[in-house]
Amino acid sequence: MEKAIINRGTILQNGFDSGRLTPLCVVIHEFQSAGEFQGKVYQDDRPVSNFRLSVNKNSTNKQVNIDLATLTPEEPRQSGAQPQARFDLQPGGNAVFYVSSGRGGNAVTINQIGLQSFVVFDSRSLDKGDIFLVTLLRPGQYQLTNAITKIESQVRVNYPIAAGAPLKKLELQTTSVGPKQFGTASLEMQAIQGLAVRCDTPSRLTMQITQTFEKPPAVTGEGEIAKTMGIPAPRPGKVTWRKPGTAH
Amino acid sequence: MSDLTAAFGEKGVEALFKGVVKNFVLEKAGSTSGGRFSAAYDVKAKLENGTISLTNQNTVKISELDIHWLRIKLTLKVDIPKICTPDGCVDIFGKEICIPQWCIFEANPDIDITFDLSTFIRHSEVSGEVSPLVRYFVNPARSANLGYLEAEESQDPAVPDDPKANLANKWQVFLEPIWLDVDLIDFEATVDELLTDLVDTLVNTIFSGFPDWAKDAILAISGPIIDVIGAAIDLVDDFQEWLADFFNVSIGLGNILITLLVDYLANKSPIISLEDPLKIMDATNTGLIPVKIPIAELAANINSAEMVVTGTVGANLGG
Amino acid sequence: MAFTDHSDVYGALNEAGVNLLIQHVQQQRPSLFNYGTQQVLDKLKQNPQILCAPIQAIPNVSKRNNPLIGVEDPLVIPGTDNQLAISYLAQLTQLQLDLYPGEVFTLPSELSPPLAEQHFALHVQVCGGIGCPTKDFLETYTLPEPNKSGTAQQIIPGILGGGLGLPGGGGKQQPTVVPFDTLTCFCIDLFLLGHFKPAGGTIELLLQPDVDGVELVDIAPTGLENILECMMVLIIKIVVLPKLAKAIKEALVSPLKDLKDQASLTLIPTPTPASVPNNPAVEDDQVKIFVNLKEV
Repeated sequence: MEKAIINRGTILQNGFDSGRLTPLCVVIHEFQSAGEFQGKVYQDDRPVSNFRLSVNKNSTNKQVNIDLATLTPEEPRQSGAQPQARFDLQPGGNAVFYVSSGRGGNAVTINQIGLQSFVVFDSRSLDKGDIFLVTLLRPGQYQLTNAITKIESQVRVNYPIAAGAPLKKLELQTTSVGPKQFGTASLEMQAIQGLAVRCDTPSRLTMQITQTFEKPPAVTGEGEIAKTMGIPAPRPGKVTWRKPGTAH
Repeated sequence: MSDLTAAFGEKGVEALFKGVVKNFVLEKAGSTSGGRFSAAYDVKAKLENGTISLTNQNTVKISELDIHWLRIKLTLKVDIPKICTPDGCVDIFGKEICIPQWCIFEANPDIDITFDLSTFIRHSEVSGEVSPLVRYFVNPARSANLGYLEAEESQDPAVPDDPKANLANKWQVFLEPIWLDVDLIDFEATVDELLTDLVDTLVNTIFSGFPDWAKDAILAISGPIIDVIGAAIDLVDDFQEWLADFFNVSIGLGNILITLLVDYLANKSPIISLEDPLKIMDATNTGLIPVKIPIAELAANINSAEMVVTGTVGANLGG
Repeated sequence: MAFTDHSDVYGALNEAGVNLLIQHVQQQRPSLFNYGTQQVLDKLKQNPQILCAPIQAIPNVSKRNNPLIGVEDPLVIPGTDNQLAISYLAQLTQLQLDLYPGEVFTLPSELSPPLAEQHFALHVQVCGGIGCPTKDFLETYTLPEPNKSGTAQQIIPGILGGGLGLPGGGGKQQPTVVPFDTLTCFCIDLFLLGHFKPAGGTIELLLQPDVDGVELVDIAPTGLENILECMMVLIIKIVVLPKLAKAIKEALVSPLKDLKDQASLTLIPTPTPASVPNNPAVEDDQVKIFVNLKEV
């Protein structure tokens, strides 16, 4: 039997950093112009792999999802050239950088090929138009901070309510971060909702829980959901054994 | 004519019978495959209480002999489906972005979930009718030329931990079943209670050690786990019926219990056991041998008032 | 009418069974019924014919070095200052028990036949013998001088179990035992009348025999008969009867022991006269016991 592996660290995460992505975080960058780009993936600030991104009008992709987990090898690569992952995108399309599994701690930089010093994207310092999206599971009071400008906002995440059916669509709350302030001074949202923050200024966004909320008494959990399907009638019937040769 | 007569009224017979059944244990584990899916079971039961009545047909009627399920565990191999945040595209600041899913399990596993159903099982009983059967037992480990004194002094190799177990011959009176009925296994809980227990066990198994908010958050994503599991194993609507069929038909637990009980009463556990020859004076610590009398014959009969055991003292002791 | 109309459990052993049981005890524990000196035992090993009555024992008795006779101290000859003693042999043979109503044998008139209700009678052939001195011994033996302290030691020969040194003595001396070639024997019939006391509160006190009368047949004068009857009563009542009663009790209680072991029940004698008129009962040529069950 294969053991059920649950990413406990991810589920119990109580802090997020756009510069150190985990499975509950996503950053989105729009590539407006065509070009050939080299991406570098980091884990814990250490480069771990490279990839190629081609933004060209021949691409049919309006969006490319780049999984940093699959680009993070489990063991250090041997020296020598390794085949690079390749992605392509239409100009104006969006690259979505995410972590599908593992402990995360990933960052990504994109350089235009031929112009190595020209960094078009650095997830450790999001630029105007970039979006940081985080799915919040843990209920509590969070402090949302732009580590570059030090401005703050408050986000309250309420206790999750068990759904009567599987969640069909991830609902989002949105806000933005500008040079002087966040779009909203405080936000209230439900657990398992997503929070999308649009950067209008260079940003490194962190969210840190400052107060946890425990399960309130009245919250309906799975065990209390009534699925009464009627009390079954008593089942008659016995198993009978009779000594061979004896009359019934 | 018999030399020795012993008679036991109904109270005495009931005491003898209860003394025998209290040592009966059904303990069995196994698994079945095929059918809808694989399941394993681990059961243990004892017998308790019960009343008897004596008849003029040389039988004892037994009723209300309770089956006490000490353990009735079912292990289901559950193929946990993916539980993920929904995929799909959302509008974010005027852009349509398709958000990648995040899944709770990093692999798509099977999990063994073990449920203890002993609190749900409906009260069940054994009833029947038994008749006395007298046998003369010669221990197979006893050699033919072993004297009666040496046999008493020799340890029965089949029971090495019991210092009283020896190789002496024995007259034994069994209560041989004529017929036995066992109630089918049935579960008293509503489907709701069973499913609740299943869900609780499943969630606690999978998310062992997680705080409540984490379990609730995951449940909020996945919806009722029972729907998830039920969809995977397709038994939500008839779980209770499936449970009963599993134990009664697939395993045949009732048949197993009856077969074991028949053998136990008829062959393994006599209600009366007399060594032959019968000791009437102990050996002394100065080396004097015990004094024993041979029992040439033994018989047992039952009428509506009592069980009467008669015996004949033999003239010769033998070797 | 059921056996257990007045008790939870009933047990009975009939006359033939009791007498067969006594026979088995005699053959497996001969030293319970035959007593003599070491000298008799030594002679017996060389000459089995020396006994007053033959002893029938099963092979296991000799195989396991069990004695045929219980060894006792010799009888000291009075006036010899514990310096001379004589060997003896006492045997209880042909024991027969008769349970009410008496049919096995006829009681002597001294015991007021017929056998009364709830009574039993025991017929025993008592054989005895002493090792009379040889002619040579009588002609040559002289008693040694008393010890220098001038005190005389009086040793009372025990009935069963050796002598006692009285105060004033310096310790037990071993007397010279008169040598003998054969035993001078006699056998007489003894009849004993008895009953069982009401059972006590525990199974151990179920069968407690008591002696109502004893008669040795054809002994004269009366005083000698009385002395011998007195000795026989002591031996039979104190030693033999209790052991036989215990053996009968074991035979009766054995089928019940499973109740105690498996069902955790205590067996207690059914009380009289509340539940049964007699317990144990001696009637219908049987010894009957009545037992109740009590949860531990």
